[in-house]
Amino acid sequence: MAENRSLRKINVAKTEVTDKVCTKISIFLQQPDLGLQDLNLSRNQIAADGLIALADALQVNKSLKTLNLAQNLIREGGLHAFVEALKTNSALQELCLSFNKINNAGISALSGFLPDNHTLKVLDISRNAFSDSGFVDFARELAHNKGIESLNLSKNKDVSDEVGLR
Amino acid sequence: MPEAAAAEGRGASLSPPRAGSAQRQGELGDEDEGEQEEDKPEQPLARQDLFVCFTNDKDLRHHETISIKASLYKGIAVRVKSLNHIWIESLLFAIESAKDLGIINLRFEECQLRKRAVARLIDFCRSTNIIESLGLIKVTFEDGQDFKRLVEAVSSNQKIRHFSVQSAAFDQDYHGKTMARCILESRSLKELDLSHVTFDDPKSFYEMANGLLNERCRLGALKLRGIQFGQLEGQVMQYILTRNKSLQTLDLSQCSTDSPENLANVFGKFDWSCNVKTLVADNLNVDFNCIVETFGEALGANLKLEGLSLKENKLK
Repeated sequence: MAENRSLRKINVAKTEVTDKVCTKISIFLQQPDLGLQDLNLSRNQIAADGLIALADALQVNKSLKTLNLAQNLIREGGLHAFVEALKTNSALQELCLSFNKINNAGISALSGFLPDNHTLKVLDISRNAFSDSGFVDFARELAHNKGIESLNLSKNKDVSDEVGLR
Repeated sequence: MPEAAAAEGRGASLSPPRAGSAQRQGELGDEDEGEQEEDKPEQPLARQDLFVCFTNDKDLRHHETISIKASLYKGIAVRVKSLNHIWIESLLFAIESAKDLGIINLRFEECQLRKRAVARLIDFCRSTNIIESLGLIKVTFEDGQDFKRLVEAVSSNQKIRHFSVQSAAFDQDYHGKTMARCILESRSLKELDLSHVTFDDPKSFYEMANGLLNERCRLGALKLRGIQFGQLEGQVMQYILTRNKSLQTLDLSQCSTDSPENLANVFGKFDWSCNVKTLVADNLNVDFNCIVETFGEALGANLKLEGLSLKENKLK
């Protein structure tokens, strides 16, 4: 499959993708001249190592515009590597991390890409496990971001309007 | 055609479309990802996707009642045990006399169509230019030959783009021949849904495929969800994938097989010779490991496939 250049959209939701399978997907995503624009990996079992593998892919991939990682096992681990990749990636426009287990440390780490990445337009971090104290850093960095047009924060632990207004 | 599978209970009057018409072809169905079933936000349906479902024959006695109840919808679904010509007359009169309502989808579910009802429906199908999609889901006929006559009428219609014959038993080769003629003769048909059809006479699949193998075939989308792939069906499907030039979308979700090799051989044909642009193969009833190697190899050589959905398989 690695030689395929025609695929634009792949949906492998709810396919029991583990970190190990994610590593293979990462290798596929690192192929030069790849045309894949939309990858749905939601409802799988991707955790820290899988996220790091995807970060490796995003460092070099230039085609992927939409990445859906909803309902996986993402907490805090791997987010630093993922953020580093997002800082240099200029293709990704939509990222869904909804329904994971991103905690306060995780959301704080995730905020690291905001000042440097201005191409990501849609970010969904709803239904995670962070609260006001973790979201403070994110809200502060968000002020320096020029790309985000849509941000979904709903159904998190305890995020209040006040943090966003500060 | 013998009695179709048992009815699935549902009493609501508003019916979101089923597999046959729910998703537009070419979509890979990921709109709900990330949401648990019990916690999904309300997704407004587009008007063309909404059906009003008549489950009580009393509602079919007066065309005025039908018109009023259908006025907010684009489709009418009828699910009564036995449908006679009087109720069909009311139904079709309501559709014809209220063109402004814009009812473009008509679907019969879990009905037995009586002989005179089919005759009226045939007349309607031959002449109407209103209906764009017609569905026969778990429909049986008082006279088995009526299936053939009705499909011939659909073939002659110049407006119907989507035709669905779901959960039917094709136990005679004429079932397949009839569908093949429909594929070739219809000038408007773009999507054919034969999901959950049981090809009890394997020749019926072969006969149906003759329509798809003919160079005059212009069908753009074929849904074969839930089909059982025996050796013959597998071999015929391989021919289709290699030779058909018109199919852009193919849905093989929930397909099963008595031997994984049958499906592995089918998926091995999604290579350079295949013209399909969108493949949906969700939740296959086969160990995906048995086909992944052949499929991956074929995809490596594929030049046309743009969309691939493998939801709910086990990619280990």
